[in-house]
Amino acid sequence: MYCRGQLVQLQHDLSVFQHAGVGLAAISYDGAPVLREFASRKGISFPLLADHESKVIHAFGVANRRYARGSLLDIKTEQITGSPGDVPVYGVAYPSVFFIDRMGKLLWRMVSETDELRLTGATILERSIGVIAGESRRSLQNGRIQIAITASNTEAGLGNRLSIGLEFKMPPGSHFYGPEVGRSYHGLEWKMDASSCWYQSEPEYPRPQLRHFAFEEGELPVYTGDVRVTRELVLKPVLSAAEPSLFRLFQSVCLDSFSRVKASGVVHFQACDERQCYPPQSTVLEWRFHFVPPDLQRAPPELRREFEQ
Amino acid sequence: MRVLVLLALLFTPVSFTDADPATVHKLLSDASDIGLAAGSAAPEFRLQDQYGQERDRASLTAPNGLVLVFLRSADW
Repeated sequence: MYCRGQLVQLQHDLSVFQHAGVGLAAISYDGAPVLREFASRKGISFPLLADHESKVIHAFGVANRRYARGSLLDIKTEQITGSPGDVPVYGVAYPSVFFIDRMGKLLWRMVSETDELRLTGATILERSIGVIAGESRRSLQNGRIQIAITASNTEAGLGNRLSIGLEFKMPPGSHFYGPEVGRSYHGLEWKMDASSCWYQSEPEYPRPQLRHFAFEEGELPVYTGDVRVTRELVLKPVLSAAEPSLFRLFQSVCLDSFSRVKASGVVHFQACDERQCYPPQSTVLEWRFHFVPPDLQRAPPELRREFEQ
Repeated sequence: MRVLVLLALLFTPVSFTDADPATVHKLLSDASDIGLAAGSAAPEFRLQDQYGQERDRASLTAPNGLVLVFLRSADW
């Protein structure tokens, strides 16, 4: 289910890849007929490659180690039970992403042992080669310092790993303090509200400059000019065969009347210039993402894998 | 009561026992002992796509590179 959602999401972000001049292809242990049916049903135009014997999956070293030869998986419970109707899973890949340069060298990779969490296409390009191709950017005017909030995507499906960001633009001669400033100063601090809908990673602050000031012994960490801070947001993968009503509860708790999921937080900082420091500021932050419902439709029975390859 | 249990479940991740910052960090980190390392050479391959066309690495690579996404299955 999460794989199908990921393929639809990648198709949605395909223009970001094209704009960045980067090719995109997906590999799974499915046979070509399964991929053809899925691509036709969901309008997937980038290459879906059929590694039916898992040779390429093994060559990249990402065959799932949990599944030995002969393993049969109950896909509802994700347990190896070996019951009739279960799926042969030897040779299934871990969810993984590899960025390969033109010379055939692996520049970046992300291999996950967690099956439900998937990077969006825009997040892959941001994390791997620093392409900031956010679909959403909103300015929050805040006195001398301008703040904008960004997001890699405007839509989110269950298990999607999105990238959100804060961009600060400071006028010449101004600065604010880095997060580790300590003493009696107010350093940059970005907090997200606790949420039952999202996981959120810690923010990735850029390295501040160390600067000496006449009024203080030693050096203080400061930011000047343009500063960008990012973090990941992950929409919780709440589909559970053991507790199907969990998804309905997610819908009632997390989605608004426009089928959007909200994430919110606050950023604290204190701006200074050559003459003075201004009172510490707090700015409320909010993102909203359109929810993409999960695709629960399997391939037609006659196309499904029945035997180990 | 059932609603309370469900609410507790929603606040407790389905697949994970904990969601403190360290756990979230681990969930989102690269499983570095699995798969080819960054810096190594990518294997050559030739596979059929959904249109029945044979594709190799070179034919998939654009001027600035190639992103290969491995996933479990488009069926289940």
